Amino acid sequence: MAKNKQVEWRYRHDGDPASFEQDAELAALMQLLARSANVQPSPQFQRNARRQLLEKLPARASPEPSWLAYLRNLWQQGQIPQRTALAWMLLLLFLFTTLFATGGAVYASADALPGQALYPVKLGVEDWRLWLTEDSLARGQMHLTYADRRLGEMEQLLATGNAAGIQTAADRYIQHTNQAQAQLAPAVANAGVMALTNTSQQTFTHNELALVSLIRQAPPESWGSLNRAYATTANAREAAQVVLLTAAADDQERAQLQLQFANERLTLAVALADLGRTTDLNQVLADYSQRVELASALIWQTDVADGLLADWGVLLSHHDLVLAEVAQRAPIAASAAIAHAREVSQTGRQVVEAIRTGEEIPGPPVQTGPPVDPPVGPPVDPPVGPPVDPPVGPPVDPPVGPPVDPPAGPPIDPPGGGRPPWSTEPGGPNPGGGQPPWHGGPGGPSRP
Amino acid sequence: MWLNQASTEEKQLIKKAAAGDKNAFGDLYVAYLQPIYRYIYYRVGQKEEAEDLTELVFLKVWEALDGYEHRGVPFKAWLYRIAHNAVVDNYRTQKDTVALETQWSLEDGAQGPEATAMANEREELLRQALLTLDPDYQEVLVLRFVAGLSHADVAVAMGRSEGAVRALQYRALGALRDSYAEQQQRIM
Repeated sequence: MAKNKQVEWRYRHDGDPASFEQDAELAALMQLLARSANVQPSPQFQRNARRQLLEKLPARASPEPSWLAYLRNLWQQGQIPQRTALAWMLLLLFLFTTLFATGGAVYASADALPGQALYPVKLGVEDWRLWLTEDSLARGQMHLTYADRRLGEMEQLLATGNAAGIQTAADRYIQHTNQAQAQLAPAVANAGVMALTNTSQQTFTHNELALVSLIRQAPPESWGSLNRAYATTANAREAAQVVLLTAAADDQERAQLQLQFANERLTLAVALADLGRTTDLNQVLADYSQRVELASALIWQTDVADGLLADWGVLLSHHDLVLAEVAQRAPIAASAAIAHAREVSQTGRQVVEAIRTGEEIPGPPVQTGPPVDPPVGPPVDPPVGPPVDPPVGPPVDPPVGPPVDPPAGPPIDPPGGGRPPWSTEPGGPNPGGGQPPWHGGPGGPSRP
Repeated sequence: MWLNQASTEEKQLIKKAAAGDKNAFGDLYVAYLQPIYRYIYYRVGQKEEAEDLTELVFLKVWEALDGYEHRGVPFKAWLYRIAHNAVVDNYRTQKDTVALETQWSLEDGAQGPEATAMANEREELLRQALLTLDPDYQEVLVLRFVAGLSHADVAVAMGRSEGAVRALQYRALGALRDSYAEQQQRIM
């Protein structure tokens, strides 16, 4: 009944997502949503919020440096002789004049772009701040921030078509991304490192999307530098994901992460489909399929709370819808990879349902695509997917120009490293003998 | 007024706060406290936790503010993006101990048990229906209709394209409609 309703609803709105606003029932629902949004913090919290927050804020720029307060105290206590005071005042006047001139240049350089006179000042200030920062985590965060600034500069430079400037910003972006990534593989993975890794993973994922958008708009002469930036970001994102997967507490968390990363791959797949980048789209879809397959294997062999299983089932249903959308937008050469991804997604949903209901999974084994390699980490090598046509739009890969530094994360095995596709432990046994572990054939392994 | 468009006054406050002016930051906090709290509350479903997270979000904003540049990204959208990340982090650390569904408090706006039941029944059903949706669906609906963000701002907050947000909202509303109908059937 509900399914019919949904089909009817889709039929009515298909092709024009905006038309739902004219649907009386949905309009009422939206109004109800907005009207019910009347929750407020408790009065006590609101009363004290500002004061409590301000008390907790760490100082960033003290209005009066402690040395100045010290000098003022000495002056007030009459401990500074008059001649010494005069000498100090002259010295301070000289210092302030110098600082004012330098500070003005630094302030003015904040909006400078590559090719402009103040741009080296801007980079110099950033380098100086990095040099002054001893904490490696804080430095990692700063590298992320500065990489983001370079992305912003590339966006601004696109409007002017300044290819040389884009290359300068892209080169700096690559340096910062590599440096940020280097902070993710320390000897001890403490809470601070994991928080930075999590932030980095999200940032790199976002930057990948942003770079695809830039490549779509960029002139051909900028494709090389943007491609390198894209490849570096992909490497860094993969390295961050490997760290997160390695540090996951258990298989349930690992499965959750794989599904989260698969979800992010789909977002990128939509953008690549719009761009007509068949090669990259196939690679991203292969990565997606592999992650869902690994998540399914992990889910199968782990006791997962029913509520979480239900969430995952809904997520995989959502993936199917997105993949249908990708199929509509993508070049025909990506059809095979999309079909495989949909098959994997549907099988994943069947696995979830089978666990929830205790039934056996019908149909053939899910492993229909190319063999997958790494057990928990994403693939680095291009997927052995279906043959693809040469790219039509601006090329995203292979990168042109100087080689990109390898990721500093844990090593990822080369293709065909001898591990079975369904192994979830490095070098572990293949529980399904080449088939998914939930395969219900005669003599097949049963769910633990 | 700030919540609809960045005023000059807001820009000045951001500039001052980025330079280390705590009072300016306090003013920004007061201006955005309720919408950010509301967004977080709808995502975590528990008052005290939402209050703690709201404060945490603004502490993170303070730390990151000197890296914020306008560059066409509205401050509000940037703020929601930090809030989104905080909620995701919080969900990841909490998910092993407490199921999200159990955290919803039913007493919001209550003047008594009967009044609550009468006045909030539909809203409560809607909240429950919202909770059954995929996290991305919840996110887009809360940002659009509870927080009142534009498609462009939601796109920034969620790190997606505007077109993807429209498509996501389209599917999310369909899912919410079905889930809401199921919730209604359940109590009949």
